[in-house]
Amino acid sequence: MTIESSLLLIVLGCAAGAFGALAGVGGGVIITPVLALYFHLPIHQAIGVSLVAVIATSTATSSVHVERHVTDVRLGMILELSTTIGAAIAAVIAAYVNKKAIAILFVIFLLYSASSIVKRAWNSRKEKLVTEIPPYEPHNYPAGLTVALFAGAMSGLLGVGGGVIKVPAMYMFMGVPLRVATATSNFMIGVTAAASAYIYYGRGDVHLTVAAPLVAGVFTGSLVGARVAPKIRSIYVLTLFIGVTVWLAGQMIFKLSTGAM
Amino acid sequence: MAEQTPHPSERWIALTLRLGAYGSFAVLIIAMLLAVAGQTRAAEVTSRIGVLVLMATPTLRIITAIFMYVSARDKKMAIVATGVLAIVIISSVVGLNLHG
Repeated sequence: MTIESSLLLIVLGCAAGAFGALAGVGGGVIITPVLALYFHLPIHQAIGVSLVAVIATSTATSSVHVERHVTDVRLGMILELSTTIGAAIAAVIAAYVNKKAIAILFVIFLLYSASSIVKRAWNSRKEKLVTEIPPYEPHNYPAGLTVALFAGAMSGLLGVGGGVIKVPAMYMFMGVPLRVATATSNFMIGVTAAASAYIYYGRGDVHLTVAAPLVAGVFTGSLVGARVAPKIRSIYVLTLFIGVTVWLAGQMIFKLSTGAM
Repeated sequence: MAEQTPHPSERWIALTLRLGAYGSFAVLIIAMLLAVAGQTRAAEVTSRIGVLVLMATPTLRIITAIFMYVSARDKKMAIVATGVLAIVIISSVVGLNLHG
């Protein structure tokens, strides 16, 4: 690994960490395709490294959210029951899934993430800063546990946090305020990613020389992102996120169609 | 709203996460400095330690939560947290066996 590559990995980690803090996503949705497309890492190694980065984002951001009591720790722990099962099983299965099938599934996930964020960006165009969390009582646990199981499976298969699945589910199905749902999802994705990261690590798919600079970048980006978050309108961050995910999906489709992936 | 009242001991969970984050960050910075200094072998070992500390942090925060719920006599949540810990331990054992 050259110094130039390490510096580029730090920059990638910074960008993903900042997105994580600003847009409430784990960053895996950006890291996995960038590592596969531009660093030419085999897809399974890209996923393994991305899972470690997701743990970094979750650990850095949720320590702050838990202390501020924005995270619903009880709800997070309950949903972790099913999301970790999904993640662990999917991580074992991933070794037997064709690389091309994983790449196609990733393209679908990227496009879903972009569409999900488009909805959020549209809703946030007239946003007001809400500091008070309204009273709520999470309900419909069976639906929440089912979606968390699916999100965990996506995490184990694709190296993402799965926040783009968990947040809308908690918000729409369980009646959890969006701010709490985002913080709780960030809290959960660390354990979800850890459940599958151990399996990728055991298979030798966590490339340490790639993971070390990337994770250092993720920590830096998360800290800077959390600091500047109140000064930046989320619509700009979300628009940039949509652009990046659509670009990466396009690149992956191109590589798949030319047989280069 | 009783379900959402934050438990005062949640600060221990936040502290565990913070220690894991800053601890692994510091170790990884040392690993990169060693790599720049040309100490390839030492850099690799240090990177491994940093990544393993980071990967262990979510597990440590589950253990912290179990202690928190047991001390609060919250039997239901203690069982839930123990269940999550069991799943993560099973996956880590499977992972280590793959490594072996």
